Amino acid sequence: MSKYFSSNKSIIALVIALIISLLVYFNNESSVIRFLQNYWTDLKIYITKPKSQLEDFMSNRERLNQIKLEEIKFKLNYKQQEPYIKYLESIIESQGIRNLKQRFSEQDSSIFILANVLWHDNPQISSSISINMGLRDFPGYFKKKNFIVVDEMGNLVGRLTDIGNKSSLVQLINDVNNKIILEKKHSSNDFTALMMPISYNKSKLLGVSLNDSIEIGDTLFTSYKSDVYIDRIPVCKVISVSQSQAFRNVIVENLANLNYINNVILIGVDFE
Amino acid sequence: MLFLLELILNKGLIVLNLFRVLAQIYLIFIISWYMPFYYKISNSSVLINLDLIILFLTIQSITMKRYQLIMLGLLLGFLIDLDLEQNLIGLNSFFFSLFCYFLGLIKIHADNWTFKIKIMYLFSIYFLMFFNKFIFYSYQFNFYDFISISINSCLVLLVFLSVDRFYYKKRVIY
Repeated sequence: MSKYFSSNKSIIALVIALIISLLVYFNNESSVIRFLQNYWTDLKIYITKPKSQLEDFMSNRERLNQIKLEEIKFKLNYKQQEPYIKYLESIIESQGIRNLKQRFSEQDSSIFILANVLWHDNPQISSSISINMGLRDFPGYFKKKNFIVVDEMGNLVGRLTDIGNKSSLVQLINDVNNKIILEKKHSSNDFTALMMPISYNKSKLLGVSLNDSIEIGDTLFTSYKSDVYIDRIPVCKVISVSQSQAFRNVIVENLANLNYINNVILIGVDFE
Repeated sequence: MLFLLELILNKGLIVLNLFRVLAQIYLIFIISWYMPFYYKISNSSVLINLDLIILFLTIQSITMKRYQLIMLGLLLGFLIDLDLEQNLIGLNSFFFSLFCYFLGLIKIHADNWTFKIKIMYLFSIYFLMFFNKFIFYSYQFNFYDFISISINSCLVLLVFLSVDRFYYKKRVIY
């Protein structure tokens, strides 16, 4: 028996390794695995903090220069009627975020949090990212909130699925398990369809019938029918429409550029 | 007494080797997090970048025994899962263990296989390692993905051949 083990060590090691990996795969929702994942991501923050801060600075240096210029202009032109803070807001906020803020300003309990992405340019395909916001950064009532993640233009990036002490995991919209219900316009008269990812930045729409009006260039939003995502967040635009027997084959491209994101915004609203 | 001392020394060396490998693994992850060079061909889901983990495993296959390499692959795959995966934790552990098993064949057949066979074999297992995710993610595989994966495989192969030529003085693959 011992002779068999010593001469077939690699086969036995392979079988053990495969069994362990299958056990981990089928128990990936367990608390131990989640704890290890949160611990690893928290550890990653310490190492990647200089990189994320540098990338943050590099991507915002033009805005910083603009803010400096506006600050000097404001100081020199003391006859300006608008307060200084509105100058900053108009420079910093894009139209997309401003619209979102105007929409959620009616609700007192909505939360907007800016986070840095701990990016990892890995040749292995990945459908999640980690951000540098964790339990210590969220307000105390975060458990009652539904957090979604958008980019700086207000386009949907994903949703928060795991929160660690110093970091969190975001499931991107190109995850095959993250099927999003989309609609074409704000009203409920237009159609809804299910978005199914087919590549890193493209998806296919399921359930678009021949009667539904959809054209190349249309922007699609999250639907009011979704239990996960708040509605009316821009998600994708149509790039290809073709017809098959009973349904249309619609290919869409994500509006958020998932390859090069440094900053994301977490929006937390009450569950409706 | 001498026997006891020798036993303690041997165990100590094993523990030291283990720490050395763990330190190397963490260093590989740190370098990959800070890797500035990457490129994406349009419409491809795969980033063109030097995969240091696969390169590290290939270099370790020269010195490590096959069963040790498989366990190392399992550990590395698990750490990559913690780093990159959300719902498919365990997937990379599975594939990296298999990858290391097939990688170990290079050392076993070092004298039987010609240089070209070894290169083709390495290229094909690298290609399959990059390709396997498409099956589990249900992504469509297009021409640009094929190009990106081929370039990634060639990159790892070229760097490994360079390491073999300049560090190991052509004693491994050539």
